[in-house]
Amino acid sequence: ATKKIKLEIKRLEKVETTGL
Amino acid sequence: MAVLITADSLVGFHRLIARPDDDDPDVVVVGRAEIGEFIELPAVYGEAIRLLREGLPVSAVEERLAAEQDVEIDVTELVEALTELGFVDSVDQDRLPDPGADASRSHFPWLTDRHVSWIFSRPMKLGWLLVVGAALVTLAVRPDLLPHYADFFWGEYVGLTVLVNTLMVSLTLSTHEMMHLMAARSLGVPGRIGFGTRLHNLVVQTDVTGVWGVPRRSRYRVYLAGVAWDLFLMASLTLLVAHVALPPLTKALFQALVVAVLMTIPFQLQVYMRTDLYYVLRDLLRTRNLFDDGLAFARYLRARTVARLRRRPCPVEDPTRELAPHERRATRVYSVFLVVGATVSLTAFALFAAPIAISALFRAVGAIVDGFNGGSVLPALDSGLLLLIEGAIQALFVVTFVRNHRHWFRWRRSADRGTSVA
Repeated sequence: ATKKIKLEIKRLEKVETTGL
Repeated sequence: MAVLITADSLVGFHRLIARPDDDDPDVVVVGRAEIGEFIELPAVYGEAIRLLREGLPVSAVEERLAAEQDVEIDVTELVEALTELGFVDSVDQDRLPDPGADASRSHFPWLTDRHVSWIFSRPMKLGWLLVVGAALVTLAVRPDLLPHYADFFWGEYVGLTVLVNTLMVSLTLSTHEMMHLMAARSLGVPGRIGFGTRLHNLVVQTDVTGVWGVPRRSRYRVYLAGVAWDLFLMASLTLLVAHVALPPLTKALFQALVVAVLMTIPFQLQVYMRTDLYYVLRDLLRTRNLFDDGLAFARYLRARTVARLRRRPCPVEDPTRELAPHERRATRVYSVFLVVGATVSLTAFALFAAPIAISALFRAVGAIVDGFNGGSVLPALDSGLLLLIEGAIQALFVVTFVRNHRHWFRWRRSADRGTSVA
């Protein structure tokens, strides 16, 4: 009666604010 | 990095940030701000990290979670994945190599929320609204003060004008980026300012990847701080020109700066590049990696089209298939927007901006040659100055582009030598 939970990893993108 | 992890292993971590996901209660965000690495993973694995940090060995964590939540998870696999990401400091007291040792340090580390949080307080927001509102009313009453392209040329010599305008814009750009950094710091997030590229544009950018560690509603402050400064500066300069008796040259310089800053705003709206407003759009759409996923989907469509033309099965899987329905829809629409926007932008650059720049270059060289052949010296010096400024900026673009795309150039050099790269 246990749930097997798969490890799923999502890498989050870089955050680079800009000026031009 | 091969690490032996047993059932009895004790795991030490670097300083990590963990918080619930903005939308999904079954997901947590975990990251290490020093190396700009953030991930999403199932909440039960987030709980496993918490228990490991409390000093429980691997098997005890699995047993505790099985007893408390009726779940079976693989903590060994978790520790291996976190080691690859650079989150793990030690296993069984053995220190691991730290990718953070080579990571670039945050700029102005002494700057804390104690120094900067007042900038983002309610009275300051009210002051910002009053200044911008007053400037809009002034422009409505005095339309002769509306920015005009001719305001850019305040002097007789183009080279000198461009030099002074570039210096003024550099100062306001630095302030624009400092606003991003201070907004991040007001939330306890590190930041680092440097150069970057967006398509054919050289940009100044602030790496604030650590904002993944704060909830979405707080992140907008960081994204919008730069444009808020731009609008505040333009409004303040407009009010000064309209209501203060300034020397003619000062007035002309202020109006030139308004035009130069105004010209940077449309760039921020080009959200098919990773601009400030792209991040606002990404969070409003409740997506995580809109740009990367959109680009991956565009590549998938290209591969699928080629495969159909060759009547072969598509070698690539749809990268959006595992996204939530709302995110899949947003990513696919954005993907089309990205391809069209980038194509139009690069085509316009190739057909107009590049030929104009090359033509200006030849004219400037002609003026310099005339100067050496007995012509006017001042126009020759002026042209030399223009060449120097634009040349330096283009050189900076090339250096930045190569530095940020090393993998492209490495592959080409290797390919030239006839070797393969894995």
